[in-house]
Amino acid sequence: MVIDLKKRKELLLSERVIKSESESWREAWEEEISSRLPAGAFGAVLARAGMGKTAFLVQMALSSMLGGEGVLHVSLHEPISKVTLWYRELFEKKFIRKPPRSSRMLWETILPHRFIMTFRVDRFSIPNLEERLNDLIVQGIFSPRILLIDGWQTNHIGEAEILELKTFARAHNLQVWLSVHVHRHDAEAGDPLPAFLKKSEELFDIILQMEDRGQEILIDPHRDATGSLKSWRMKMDPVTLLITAGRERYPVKKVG
Amino acid sequence: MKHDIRQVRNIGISAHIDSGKTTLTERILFYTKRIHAMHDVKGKDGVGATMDSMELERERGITISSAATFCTWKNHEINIIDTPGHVDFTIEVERALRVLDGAILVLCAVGGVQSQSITVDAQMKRYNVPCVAFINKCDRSGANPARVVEQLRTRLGHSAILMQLPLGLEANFQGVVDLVSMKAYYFDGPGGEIVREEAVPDAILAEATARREELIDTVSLFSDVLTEAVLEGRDISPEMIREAVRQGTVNRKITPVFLGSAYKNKGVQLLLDAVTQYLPCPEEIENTALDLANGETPVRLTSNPEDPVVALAFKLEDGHYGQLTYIRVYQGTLTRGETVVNARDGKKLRIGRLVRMHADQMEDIECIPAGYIGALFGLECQSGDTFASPGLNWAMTSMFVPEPVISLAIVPKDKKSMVNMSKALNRFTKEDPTFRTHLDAETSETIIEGMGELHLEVYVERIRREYSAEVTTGNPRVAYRETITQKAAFNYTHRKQTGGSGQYGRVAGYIEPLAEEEFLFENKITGGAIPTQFIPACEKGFRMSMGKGPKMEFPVTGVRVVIDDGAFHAVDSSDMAFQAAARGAFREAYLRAKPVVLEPIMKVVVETPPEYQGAVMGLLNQRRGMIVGTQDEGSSCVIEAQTPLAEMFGFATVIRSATQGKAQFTMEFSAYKQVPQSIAEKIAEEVAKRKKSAA
Repeated sequence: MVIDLKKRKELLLSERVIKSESESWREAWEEEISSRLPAGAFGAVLARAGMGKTAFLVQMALSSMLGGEGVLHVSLHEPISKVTLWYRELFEKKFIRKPPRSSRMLWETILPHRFIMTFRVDRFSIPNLEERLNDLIVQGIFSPRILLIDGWQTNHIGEAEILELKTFARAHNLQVWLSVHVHRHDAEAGDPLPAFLKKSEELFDIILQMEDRGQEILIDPHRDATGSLKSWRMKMDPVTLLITAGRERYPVKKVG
Repeated sequence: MKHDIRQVRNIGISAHIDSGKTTLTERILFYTKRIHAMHDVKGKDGVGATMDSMELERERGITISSAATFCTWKNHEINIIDTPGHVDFTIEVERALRVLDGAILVLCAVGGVQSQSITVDAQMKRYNVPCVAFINKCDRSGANPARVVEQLRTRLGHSAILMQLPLGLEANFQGVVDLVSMKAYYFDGPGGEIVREEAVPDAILAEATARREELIDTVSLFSDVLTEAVLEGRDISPEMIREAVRQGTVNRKITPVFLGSAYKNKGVQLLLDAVTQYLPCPEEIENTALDLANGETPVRLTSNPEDPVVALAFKLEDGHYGQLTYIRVYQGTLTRGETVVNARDGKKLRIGRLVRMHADQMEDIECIPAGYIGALFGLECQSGDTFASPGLNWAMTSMFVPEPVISLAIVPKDKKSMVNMSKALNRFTKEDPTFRTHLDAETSETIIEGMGELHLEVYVERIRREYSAEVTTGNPRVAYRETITQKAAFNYTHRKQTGGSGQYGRVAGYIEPLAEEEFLFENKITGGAIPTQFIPACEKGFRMSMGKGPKMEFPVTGVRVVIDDGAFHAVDSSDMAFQAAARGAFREAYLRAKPVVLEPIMKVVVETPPEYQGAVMGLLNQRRGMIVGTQDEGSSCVIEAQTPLAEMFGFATVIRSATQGKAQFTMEFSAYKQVPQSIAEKIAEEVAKRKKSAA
């Protein structure tokens, strides 16, 4: 019997028995989190200004893109050029050791899996976002699986908005990640959760909190309904902003 | 003529097409008494604006070449370069910016920061040109300067500061309130030449005071004197604020914003004051040259008129009296009769007639000191050449010149047209480094290459009009490239023994993909398998093969050639033989190295009202475009995409009809990327068809 190796590889890839080259670069921690989050699930990353919330979201996105999943990145505080720069820089830092040609090819392979939308803060609303997303889906331009919302100011978010977002996310089978800005005085008072999050905490499957420890920034789970973070200890290098995650027993803080 | 360098300003006027920069320049020239009547771009009087000296520019209402002009305002000497607004001519804009010390960024009060303004602004950032912004067309319906200031902040990242408040807007626009002096200014007389200063009207006084506070608060960062005065609660003089604004502007920390309507003759004089008050003089700008004798190490230029001269030719024009070269002197003084050396070829040149230009009129001068812009006659050179005193082997930093991405066959109708056409092409290629021309060896057609459809269209029109050459053009063609994707070895022997002296040469080694460079040749031969004197012939052979790829005859890029073995014959080996062997080796290895075709991908930025966003994205998607993202701007939305150039022909017409003419777009080269297989097959068919018809 003659085995057509090429066809066999394609079959195995389609059945996800083996991974494609780009997929094998996917981060294990992200893959585990993503696989455990159902469609319509919410994740949030909390930190004070300038600590690396965007860098965290972009690395989540890069890893998902490497897994061939569509990421819709919504930014409310930066223009497209700056958002693309975040991706470019973090990708380059991550793959600095790969030969330039193959890293360039990898970059080009993952780019079609990203779509950036930027809104002015005062113009952003869920119906507005839905209208834009429908434009993309109907015309077959882009169909995301993960939605990142970066820079949504906490004073603009109420319970109603969160519920609206939840319905939207379920309707479109999206996993949603939010970056949440924590004010210095709240952080110092030991109460990092903004009002909207306190009221709707149970709607979130994962809430991560970034904590500055000088040499490194720890990314601790504040809430983890999926149980996926039990065995991970995640931290960010404050210089490169790259996330490293190691598997180890790590106690999850009590919810509530 | 007195020369006080602190009173000199070399400025450019950069903007989006149709935001009124030529009209603004026309008004500046009128108020500085360089012209005695004002004309409009698409003038009803049929004269056209002075700076639009080319017939074609006047007809289309666009400015193509950057004519330099000189004027004086309140004891200051101002050199103005009027720059083109369309993105296809960006090399003109870039060249102009290279020689400028400051710029006026003209924005339309209705259209705001448009896609072209973003490109122009990126260029200004690249050359560190400080600028003041002028929000023009405040008299138009829908004018909203506050929105434009906001866009300057959010879309261009400028720390924009309003220096004035409008007195009325749209049809009711009467004048401006200067927040520094807290005075209202009105512009009377038929040409707005009488500036009437009055107290700030009560209705706007409260807002003006609040805005002044904001202004002081922002600029106090740049002046200790002002900060102290604020902290101590002392009176703040206009001079203190101006000095702080000047410091902030010169260091590119802030962009002061002025308002007006050039067409209605309002606000231009105050803008001229701002140019003299806030933009830097040549002395304040650090310019560097490259020392060619010392491994191109940067050397700081002094701007001292007594030092040896260093000057840059930044623009060539064919005038009535031969070639006119626009020049900026960076150091020393360029004097009539002086001998200088062209750094490019080391040729000595004698400076003949020196002039100072006022659009298409001129004034003879004796010398051009450091910091000044002038023009000279009878000098054979190319744009971008550096002239320096003998003994000084310095060149100004080489300018970034993009590779052309589109080509067009051009055929003259008769012999006379052919002569004229070649004259025109000769001149245009010297003037514009992004415009190139060559003869296709197979079809014997003259091919012109450039940066976009409009770029080539304008040159073809100029050939027809200025040189009265009747020419026809073929369809535009995309400049495809080829490259290899894997390593492949070669071992090729070239042997010929057909009477006379024989030819023999063998080369062996491998070719492999190269990421960052076009071509790299490495000789790893040990033990003299190929004698050293034949190595350059091998390199030449490989290099020649790169011109026409064996796959589809497009130029090849990104190849590293390594030779590590070979053989020679004591009698039959020659340069010719090794060149032929190298060509054969390249052919042999190339097809095994999995060659692919690359196509130019353009960054397309479309600005459209939000209701057409879906339609525009659909259009881009149909054109194999990868949409990077969308930016919501309230009344408009910006879509950024990466689209193959081959799919963009005629896009201007399509987008116009799809959006009722309300969307506009810019396009610039982004990168070369691999063509999908199905498209590669189509290209191969086309190439075969063309070859057949040529034969």
